[in-house]
Amino acid sequence: MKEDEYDIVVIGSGVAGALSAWRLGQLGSYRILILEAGDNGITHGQRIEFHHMMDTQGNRGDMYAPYMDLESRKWAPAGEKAQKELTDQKKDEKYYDYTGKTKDPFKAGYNRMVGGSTWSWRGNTPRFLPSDFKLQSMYGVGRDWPIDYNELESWYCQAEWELGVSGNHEELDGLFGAYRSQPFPMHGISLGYSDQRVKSRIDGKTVRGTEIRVVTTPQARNSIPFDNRPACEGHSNCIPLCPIQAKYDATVHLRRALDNPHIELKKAAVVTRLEKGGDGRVRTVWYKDWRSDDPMKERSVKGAVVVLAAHAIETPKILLLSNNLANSSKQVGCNLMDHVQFEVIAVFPEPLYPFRGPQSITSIEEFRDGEFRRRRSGFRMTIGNDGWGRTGSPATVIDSILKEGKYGSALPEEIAARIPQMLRLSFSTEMLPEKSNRVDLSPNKDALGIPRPRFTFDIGTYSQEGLREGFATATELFGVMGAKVSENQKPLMNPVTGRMNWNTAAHIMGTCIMGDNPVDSVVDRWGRTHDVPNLWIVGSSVFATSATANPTLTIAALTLRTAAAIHREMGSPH
Amino acid sequence: MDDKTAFMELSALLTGVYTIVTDPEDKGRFEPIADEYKRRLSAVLRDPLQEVLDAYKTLASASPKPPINDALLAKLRATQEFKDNEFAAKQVVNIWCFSQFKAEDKDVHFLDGGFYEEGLAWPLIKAHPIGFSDQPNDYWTRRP
Repeated sequence: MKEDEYDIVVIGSGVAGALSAWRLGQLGSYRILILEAGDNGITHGQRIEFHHMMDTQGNRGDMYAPYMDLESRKWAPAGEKAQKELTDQKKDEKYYDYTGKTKDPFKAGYNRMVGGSTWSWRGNTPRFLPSDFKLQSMYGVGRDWPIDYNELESWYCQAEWELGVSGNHEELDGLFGAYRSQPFPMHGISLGYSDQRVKSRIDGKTVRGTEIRVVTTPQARNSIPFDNRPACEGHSNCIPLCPIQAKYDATVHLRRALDNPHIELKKAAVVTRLEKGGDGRVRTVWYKDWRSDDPMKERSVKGAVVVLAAHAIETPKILLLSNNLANSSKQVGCNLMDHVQFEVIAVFPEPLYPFRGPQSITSIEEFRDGEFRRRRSGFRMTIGNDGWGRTGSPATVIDSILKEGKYGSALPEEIAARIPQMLRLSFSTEMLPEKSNRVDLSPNKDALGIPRPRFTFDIGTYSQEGLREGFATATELFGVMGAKVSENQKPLMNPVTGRMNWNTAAHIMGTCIMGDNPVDSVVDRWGRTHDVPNLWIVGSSVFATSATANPTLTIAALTLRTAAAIHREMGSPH
Repeated sequence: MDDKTAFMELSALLTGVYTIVTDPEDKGRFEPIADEYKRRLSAVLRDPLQEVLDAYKTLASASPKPPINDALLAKLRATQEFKDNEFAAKQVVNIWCFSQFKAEDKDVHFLDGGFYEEGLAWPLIKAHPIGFSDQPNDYWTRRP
């Protein structure tokens, strides 16, 4: 095998790419190359450097704050400023473009870094529900996956061990039929004082006709020392960065993968296209090395198998750039989904002392499923331990106090009284896969001369009705608690745009959808593209529905399953 | 009165944390922090901050020297300089509370004050600076 020829080329080093490379390296003596657009380190020293970057940031809790000075942002941008309304995005955002048909901005960014978007995630790892795989047959909307919860369940168990998920088995076993065949690797994160006080007021109560429970969110955050990583120390910095790596990130599996002498990582490599050989298989991966003397020059490697793991915007982009590769279905880039979410903020009737412990420990799961999904989305609710979350930092409260003229001796008392009473309830809704929601290629190019992504996006009435119900539910819950919705609460309807206000969860999904039928899907039930036998896709781009669960655990489960399938295929002549 | 002293006294007056100047140990600890805060604020709010400082110095130079308390604060707030430059006064509060401040009211992002871990708000709300817990696992289960 020549120096630039590999058994497997993995494109992307986030959780999907890292797990693929590591697992395939375990299964066989494959020579594996990981190509990654970013070039940051993955050592503890790099983590400390990122942590202290935030010393100079005014906005702690911003997903991308520690990474804004990376040189890779110039060469491999990723929409970090996308969390804005459409008009503002068009002024400030230098990467995302839009068609004239778009009704909503696409607010989700991601990290094009070694370790991917797990450098910025919260760490929450709920599973999909059985009905999430059967949305069409159960509720007549969306799609069905070609696999069901039963097929994925054992992979969920494996993924929970690999990521190190803490949770309480008895709370979640059987949730809407989502049985658990194994306990969690670790018991759940202990409830904070804040969660205990909230739970005491609402647990077991009926809200919007549903009896609710406050449960511990399953999360990839160590409740005990696990996997050579410490237990959570409650730095309250989960997004973006856990300073001690009690929260899982993909560098865990990357480091393991790179301990394997057969696995290499090439950084600063932005893949530009995939090229097929005469036999219809991908043979050549072309990329630009932005750290080289000639960043614009295309270079190449060859792979017997190619695994696309570049997240749900860059993955379809690469296929579209490759002369519409694997796109006989015309679905590449389509069915773009995000979890659209919102939050209601309130003043609790007693001090809760937020900003102690993880940013969110508990959730309410009861609104995720039901017959209502025939006409509106479900949502998953989380209880914040971070004051007013995205709506207002503690500085917002100080601003209010000063507006009342309370400088001087009154100020410390007011701070001590008000900030500890801040509470937020967030709700994250699903979107339906709609072909019209899509990412394709803009005529505008980035610094490497590669077309930027162009969006057509509309969150749709299904999600809007879910947000409406979420807002009403959160408001009613605060009433049950005896909490007062804050005057700083953002309205659900934006008076300027006439559209709904919402935040992104940055859970990008659906752009290379999974299905049994090549006519309307990009990959088969194992993640192999229908059109190209040696091209596989891992990550959230293969999701057929968005559900209401944070996607990372499902990404991990599917990835481990796909790695097993790749190994089986490589073991037999094709 | 020099600007350094005036800034420290003004900071105590506005924030209500009088120990910045009245407690010798705190004063010693906060002096270099105050220097840096004044430097950073002055970099973007030089004139507005100076006007508020000058208004304070005028009041504080009365004989006998007035104590740092709400009565003095009320006099300062009644000055035209304070009214015209209240934004700068608010940034003095912000920088001491969370070691961050804004250059303009409409700014979304804060500028760094340089001493994030020394923010005065954290002990008031019984929390650690975000990202810098010095407590063990599970500390958050207990009321502080």
